[in-house]
Amino acid sequence: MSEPTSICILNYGSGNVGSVANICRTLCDEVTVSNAPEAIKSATHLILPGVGAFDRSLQKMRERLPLELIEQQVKVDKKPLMGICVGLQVLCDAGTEGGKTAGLGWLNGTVERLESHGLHLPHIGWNTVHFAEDSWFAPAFAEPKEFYFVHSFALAKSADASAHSDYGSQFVAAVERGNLFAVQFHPEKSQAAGRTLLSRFLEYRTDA
Amino acid sequence: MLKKRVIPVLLLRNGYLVQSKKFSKYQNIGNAIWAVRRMSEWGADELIYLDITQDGQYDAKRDDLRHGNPTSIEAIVREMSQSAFMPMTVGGGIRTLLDIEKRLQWGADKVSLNTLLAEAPNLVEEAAKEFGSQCIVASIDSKRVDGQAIAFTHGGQTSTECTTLDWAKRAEQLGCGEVLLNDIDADGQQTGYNIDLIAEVTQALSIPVIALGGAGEWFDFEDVLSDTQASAVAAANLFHYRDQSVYLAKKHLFDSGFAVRKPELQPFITK
Repeated sequence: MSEPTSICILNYGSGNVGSVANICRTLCDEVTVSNAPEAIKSATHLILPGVGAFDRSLQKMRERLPLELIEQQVKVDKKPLMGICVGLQVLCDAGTEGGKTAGLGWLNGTVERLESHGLHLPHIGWNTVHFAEDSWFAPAFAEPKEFYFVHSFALAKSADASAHSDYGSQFVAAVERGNLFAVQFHPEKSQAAGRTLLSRFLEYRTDA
Repeated sequence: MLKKRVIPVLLLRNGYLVQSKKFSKYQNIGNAIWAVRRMSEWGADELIYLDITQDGQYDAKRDDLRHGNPTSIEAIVREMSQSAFMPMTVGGGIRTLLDIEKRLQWGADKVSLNTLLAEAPNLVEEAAKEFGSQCIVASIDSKRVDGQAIAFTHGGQTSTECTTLDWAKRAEQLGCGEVLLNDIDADGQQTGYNIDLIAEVTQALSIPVIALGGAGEWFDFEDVLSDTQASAVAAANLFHYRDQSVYLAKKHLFDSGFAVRKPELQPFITK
């Protein structure tokens, strides 16, 4: 018998925690926005939201989040975690926004400025996301689906890529490594499609 | 591929949703929070809420309005964030970094700045650094003066004495991530967009431009999408009087082969 689903949205002062919490509350009774070790330990699912620049966001996370505990929860206890937008980027090996900065390195790849080939940047709006057949999310999205993006930096490629999208050139829209998930778009702003994606994330259980 | 966005603009004046003509005549048209829900259900790609209340001005309320609960931008943004799950830009009356921070905390994704571009460009620059370019939208109101498109601020009352094109370039240099380009002459006229101006500005900038002002029918969107590099078409008045307006507009564009998100009515999500 698995315990009821509960979400901890990791709070380090990112602007969009409110929106992420709101959509999560339509899916799950137990949603906390916190950086407290107890809240992180007791949740079944973790979400790392993000907007803004790579270097500043990572700096705030290092100051305000118990990253060692989170790493242990994800890597040893195999607790599912989802990174969103900058929350994806900081999990990667490195980023180049604001000068080359090492990331947490939990996912493969370097986040660079989008190769938009003359298209306007930032990349803002609804773009089609193609999930790989073996992606955890593939069963929920048999057809490619539009999600809302707003960013100028992305992974051009990653060994952990699980979905891609195109804007002037192909880039990585989602990455997965076991229980670790991350998306470059904003599910909390992607209406029904975003809610479906988060709902599928909550179906991933380590204790199931 | 990236889809062209269809964006309803909601104008709020002294707590009421209003229709605007040439920035000078306003008509109350209803409840601001219901409008959020409608636009969300009809599958709008994004929403822009502009509070155009002029300081110190009092509006005699029409007494034939059904429950005209005056509503603050804060109430609207919070409601939106709890029920609509779509991107939202909020503008009007923003003068400080704290004004911006508050709106983002309530749940806005972007803020649009107009008068601040003239009064305190250094603050605009600082805001782009602090909150990220992606959430700073330059709202530019253009008006023809002696045959030239000139940028205006303060609700269209004050000339910047700078061409709209140069003003837009300056906004990009200050770090704005997007431009909301409105044409005062076309506002509320339903005579179509100012295509030449939109084409000129979108060509010159490297950031996305949202075209606003003059839409009278769905065909007007086609002209913008065919003849300019605008990333989005926005309209206010056009979307208020017809049931499922946004859905129908997108369906028209989608069926005509334009790259818009597939029109789908979005269920209103309650727990």
